Amino acid sequence: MNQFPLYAQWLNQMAQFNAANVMIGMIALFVVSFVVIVQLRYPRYMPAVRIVLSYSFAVVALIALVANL
Amino acid sequence: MKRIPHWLIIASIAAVARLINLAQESLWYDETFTNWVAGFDLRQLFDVVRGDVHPPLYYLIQWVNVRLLGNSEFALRLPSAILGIVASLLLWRIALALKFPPRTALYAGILAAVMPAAIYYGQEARMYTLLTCFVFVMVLGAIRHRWLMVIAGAVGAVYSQNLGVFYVGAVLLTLVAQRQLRSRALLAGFAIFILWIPQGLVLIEQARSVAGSFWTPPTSFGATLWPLNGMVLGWRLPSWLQWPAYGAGFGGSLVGLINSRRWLLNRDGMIVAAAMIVAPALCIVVSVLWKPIFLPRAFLPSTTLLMLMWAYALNHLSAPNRATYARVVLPALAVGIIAHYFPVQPRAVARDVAAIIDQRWQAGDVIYYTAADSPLAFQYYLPGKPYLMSANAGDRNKSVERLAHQYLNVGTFDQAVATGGNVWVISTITQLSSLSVLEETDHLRAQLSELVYIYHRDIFQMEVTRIPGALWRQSAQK
Repeated sequence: MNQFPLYAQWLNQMAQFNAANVMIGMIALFVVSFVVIVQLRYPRYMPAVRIVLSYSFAVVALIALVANL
Repeated sequence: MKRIPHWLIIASIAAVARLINLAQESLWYDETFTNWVAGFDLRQLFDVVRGDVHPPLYYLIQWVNVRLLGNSEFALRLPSAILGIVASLLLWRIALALKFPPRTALYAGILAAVMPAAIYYGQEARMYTLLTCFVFVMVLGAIRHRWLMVIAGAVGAVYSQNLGVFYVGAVLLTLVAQRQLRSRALLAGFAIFILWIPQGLVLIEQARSVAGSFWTPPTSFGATLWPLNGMVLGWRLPSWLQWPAYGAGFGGSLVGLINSRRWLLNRDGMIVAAAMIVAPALCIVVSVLWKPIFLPRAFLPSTTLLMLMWAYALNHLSAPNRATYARVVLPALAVGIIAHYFPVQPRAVARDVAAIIDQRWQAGDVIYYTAADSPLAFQYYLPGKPYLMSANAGDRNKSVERLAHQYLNVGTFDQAVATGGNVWVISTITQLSSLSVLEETDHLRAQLSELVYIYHRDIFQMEVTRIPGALWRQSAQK
């Protein structure tokens, strides 16, 4: 019999948490890559990208809040 | 107005951030363990440390501290707060040593002063800010080629936290790789190794006694990304805010990394990169190849060094990009700071629970703990109250289980009842609780008891039940 039954449950939770971390990392990597490519290849579009990015944190946080409610 | 010195600005901000609510939250288990170890005489202190998983330096500092300032929450956390202030100043000095402009160095110091995870550990009676200070002394010494500083920082790091060896290894490897420094770096490495041997021998003993039951989860890609997020912005954010903030923070670090390539890839920058990236990477490799030992909080020095890159990006990106960068990372940092001071989850609940018990305590009462990790946490707040810890108390963290059974009052529930008064059963269940603890908790919950307090958070669960001694004996007679 498993001597620590909750440990496996915790590992499972940690795995989910880590999967979420990977997703966050991937999204951030994608956004940063996109911005770098625009900056280097299509600099004339950077002002628009900067406007979107400037409000991105507030907008994403708001969406997350609404989704949570 | 006369210009305020930068060191004073950084120290003031760091001091206010750490001291403003230093004693506000209850101590949690690890902090009460610090207090417990510091209370022994020196010979016993070393005996206890040998049975635990950490080196002795931090406990020796606390040993002196509790004799000078006492063991209030404020006094126990004060060394970490002071070391947190020193760490912020050291990061500022590292930035100056890297030839950052004064304004960029000031930003780095301020960011280290207000980084939520740095504030958290600057308010915790544990060794992580001590480790940070020593790692920074080593890095600063390595940049300036001050070999005594390198040796002092390295030896301090490995005597603060066992994972300090990864910082020392990474920085020394970087120094050895530079041909003109190689012979002196090897000599310094030899000196550090000789001075580390006593702790190295203890480490072998500690590793053997823990016997593969250290509690850290297996290493995975996500688990290694976690320090980049949580160990910067803290993990006290409400869950809905975590991923936008972590995303912004991680993106900020990535942009900082790209922007910092100008200084990070030069001779001095490589030393910072070693402590910031190579040290955790080495630990991950060992965790994958051997046993899971990757403990995110031991990488506080690495994530604090990330603030160099944030500060650099905030000052050296092109003007429009700089403004955008600030609008993304600074709100994320701000919510992390706010969440630290107004947390969704408390650090611990022991003080509140103890107050409830204290209020209703009657002469002859006794406390009965079902788990091995609760007595230290609660006896700090209930000093002098008689208690017994269950003889069945088991914990996956073998060092906790073994030390508790060796040093605390161990008994059975029947022995607790036999004392004549009411029995206060304190049951804590964590992911590390053994089956015997879960069974005994269930068994006692089903008895004639009054539920006085309950706290749930994911797997963690804490219950206090009061079992009237007279009623118990009556029912036992029937």
